[in-house]
Order: sequence, then structure tokens, then C-alpha cells
Amino acid sequence: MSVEALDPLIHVPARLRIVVTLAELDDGDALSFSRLQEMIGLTPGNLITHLRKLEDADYLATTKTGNGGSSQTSVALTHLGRAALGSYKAALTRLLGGL
Amino acid sequence: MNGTADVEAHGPELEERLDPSSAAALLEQTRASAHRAFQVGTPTLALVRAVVVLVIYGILWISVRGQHPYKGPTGPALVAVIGVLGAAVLVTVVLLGRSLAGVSGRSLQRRRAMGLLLVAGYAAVFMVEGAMAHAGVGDGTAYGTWAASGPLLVVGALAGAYAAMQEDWTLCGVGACLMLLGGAATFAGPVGVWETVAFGGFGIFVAQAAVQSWLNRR
Repeated sequence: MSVEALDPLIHVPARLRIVVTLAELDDGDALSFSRLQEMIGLTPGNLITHLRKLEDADYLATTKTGNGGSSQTSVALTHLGRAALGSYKAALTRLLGGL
Repeated sequence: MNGTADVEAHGPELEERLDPSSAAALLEQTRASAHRAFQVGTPTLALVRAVVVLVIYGILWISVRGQHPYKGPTGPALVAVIGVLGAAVLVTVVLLGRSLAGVSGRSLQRRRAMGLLLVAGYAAVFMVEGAMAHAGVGDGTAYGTWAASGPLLVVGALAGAYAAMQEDWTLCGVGACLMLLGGAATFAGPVGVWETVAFGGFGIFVAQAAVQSWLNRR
């Protein structure tokens, strides 16, 4: 088994941290963009780029509430995202066990 | 997505890959850090509860100690208790607000429902207390054993059931211990029940803080 077995969408430091952080929320919960940014420590632009990639793969969903200056974007892991993280962890465990 | 920020990094640095062992380490480090950040039942909060139970039940115990015949907690003691409760609620709100900042969704609704159930439970305890007094049950029972143990039965049952659904076995154990303490303390009589709950409740919440700290360090 090789590193290729690891989901390339998750197997990047920033996205791994995003997915793992969101997975710690209860199922059905979302996190505001600003708190996620504070926890991950990325610039808004970089965070948006990573979130878009994960969103394009349906690993997470974003919701925008409010208008103008009071608007807030929330990010939540989808069931597919949780399942992908589960598969990633399992593959990682197998890979490390095989080393 | 949020505002108009431009992408500030492109290319390889954004797609930097990890070797498997670094990935495993980063995953565990991030998981532990996020777990602590979102944790509602923190060891600090458990210690706050321990002190609050000790102080509140201690004040009430001191106020009834030496009463012959037993009349129940005094007015000044009740005022002090309300003050301590108010401060405890404030500290709890601040600590919870820190953990749950930016979090929205179903768990928030569950917590609100839990809060309402707690209020209803406390109201029911005081209604039973009033009904007991109205029915001529002695002050020692209405304003002593029941007043001290009733809230523990409500809080223990609700917290335990909620924790079981969340698979939070530490809090589930705390709920069970509170109910058992509430039941067992009634044997201490109308004066001793306050002292028993003060020290017993303090011990339960200190144990909860210790278990949570240990779990966080694993």
C-alpha cells in the first residue's frame, strides 16, 4: 500500500486540519468562517481556496446568513466528508501499520 | 464565500503533501486541539460547579445548623445563595460562550431544550415543596430533606439522560452519582442533608474535573 491510497483532497496539511476540526463538531452543527479561520490560522484567501476544493467534492457545505456587513458564512462537514475522513483515517492506519 | 478576500497563495505551498507519520501526528494534534476548543464540559467548569455546590449547600447547612425546631434555610442565607447562583450562571455563560462561539446547528437546539427542562424541573421541585408545606408535612421534610435532595434528583436524571444520548460517559456517571447522592443524603435528616450534599456534590464534581483532565491528556 502506498501514499497514493490516501485521499489527495484531505492529504494536505491545511485541508486535513479543516476536515478534522469540523469533524469534532456534533453531526448537524456548523462553524462560522471566522472561528474556523482563527482555529486553523490561515489567511481568509487561503482558507477560502481550501474550502472551495472541499465543497466542490461535496465534503463540506457552506451556508450564508444575513446581508451586507452582518452576513456570516458557516461551514459544516457533510456525511460524505465525514465518511471520507473515516476512510482516510483507516487508510492512514493501514499504511502506518504496514511500515 | 466570506467577503472579497483574494487568494494569497497558489501552487505547491497550498498543496504541500505530508508523509504518513506526519499526517497521523497532525491529525491527532488537530483533533485534540479542536476537542478542547469545542468542549462544553471542561474541567474548569466542573471545578466551578464543585465550588458552587460546596458554597451554596454549605451556606444553607450553616443557616439551619442548631435550629430547634427545624424551620429551614434563613432569609439572609437564601439571598446569599441567589447571589452565588447568579455569579455561577455568569461564569458558566462566559465559559460556554467561549467554547461555542461560532457554532450553530442542532446541538444548540438540544442545549436550549435541556436548559428549559432544567428550569421546569426546578419549578416542579419547588411546587412539590410548596404542596408539602400546604399539606402540613413537617418543615424538616419540606424545607429540609426534599429541598436539598429534590434538585439533585432532577439535575442528575436530566444530565445523565442527556449525556447517555451524547455518549458522554463521564457526565452520565456524574448524573447517576448525583441521583444516588440525592437519595442517600435524605438519611442524614433535615440538617445533615445539606452538609452531606455540600461535601458529596463537591467530591463528585472534583472527580468529574479529574476524569476530564485525564481524558484530555490521553
